[in-house]
Amino acid sequence: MAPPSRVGPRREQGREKLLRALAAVVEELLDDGAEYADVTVLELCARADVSRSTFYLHFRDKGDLLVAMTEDIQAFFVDIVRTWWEADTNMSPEDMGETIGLLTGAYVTHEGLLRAVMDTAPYDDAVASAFGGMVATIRAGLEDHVRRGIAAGHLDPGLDPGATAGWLVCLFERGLHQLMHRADPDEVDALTEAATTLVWRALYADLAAAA
Amino acid sequence: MGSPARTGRASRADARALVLDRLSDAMERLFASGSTYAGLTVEAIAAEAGISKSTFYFHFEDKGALLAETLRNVQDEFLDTADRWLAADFGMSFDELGVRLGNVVAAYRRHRLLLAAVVDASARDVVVREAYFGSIHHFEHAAATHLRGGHEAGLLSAEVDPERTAAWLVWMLERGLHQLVRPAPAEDVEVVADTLTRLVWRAVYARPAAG
Repeated sequence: MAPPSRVGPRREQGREKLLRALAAVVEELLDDGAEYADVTVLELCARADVSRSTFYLHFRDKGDLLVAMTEDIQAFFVDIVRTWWEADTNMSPEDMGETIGLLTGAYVTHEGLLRAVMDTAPYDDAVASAFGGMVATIRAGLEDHVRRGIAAGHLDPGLDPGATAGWLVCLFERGLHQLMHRADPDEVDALTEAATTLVWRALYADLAAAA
Repeated sequence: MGSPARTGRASRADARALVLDRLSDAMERLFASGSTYAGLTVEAIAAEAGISKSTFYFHFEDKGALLAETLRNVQDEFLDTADRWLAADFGMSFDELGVRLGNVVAAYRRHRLLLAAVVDASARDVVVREAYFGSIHHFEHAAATHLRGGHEAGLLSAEVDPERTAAWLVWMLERGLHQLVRPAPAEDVEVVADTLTRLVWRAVYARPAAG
């Protein structure tokens, strides 16, 4: 966020309005199958009927716009996973299913923008840093959850909390990106159920000892 | 040795294999000294390998074609370790699973610089992406077959969906090798691999606790 001394309330309002207009254009383009990487600022401005100078008054570049457009969505993902990591570590399959259903549902709803984030992050520092921040927050929360679960005797003490959180983040980060793409609602349900069983067994199920 | 025409083809294929070996080694050395795939030029790779640019272009269309072919060789080695895990009897012990997944992780570690370059390049280069996704799909298919074998042997819980669980696990592994195994200090690799083994064991192989 820019320093308040430079940005008065009017300009802030203008930015919000512009952001909404551009976001609507971007979502429409992505829904039509465009890649964010191929969309130009010129095209966005033409479609949103704003001048390029107005665009650059508020956004540094397309990456900056993407970060602004996805701030709320990324915060929403953190909130969903927060209900998981703050929950009792003796989690039922039903609770697990509810959390994972929220995750897959949120992903499907915002797929276009989230794909744009993941596709852009490898070569845009601002996008990578926003996405990396979200992932790090989620990972730290899950690590804490696993640590508490082991201390409470609910989780397998053979699991390293940091590594477990790391693998779980990878499961969702890449799995959502690769598997949800063009999945119809039945397939989304089946994938949600499979992930629920997988994660619930991996963490919480009362299973025979490994040895 | 047959007709001169055949000898000609065979020696050209031999020469090509030799050039490929030298170029692949040169690429791995350049990655090891900090080069990124995007920053590599055909000129730099050829110079490192001690061959001329014209020899390079005699055998390869461009940098992406070289990477795709190098990748096929490295991936054959990597996928071979994965195949040995997934072709094994589903009734393996926890320790056997640990050895097999440990081999997958070790094969990735050996070629991590090259494989990381592939992940980067696959975001933009179609040839590399197709080769890479082809190997992932092979891996997904092998994992699903392995899990179906578990159902047939009555060893895998009926609630586990073979195809979709395989898909989630393979993408978890793909991302985790890149995000967790690749950057880990040598002394941490074992913890990451052990936690992977325990998560996979619990998710699919472990039986419910008795009583």
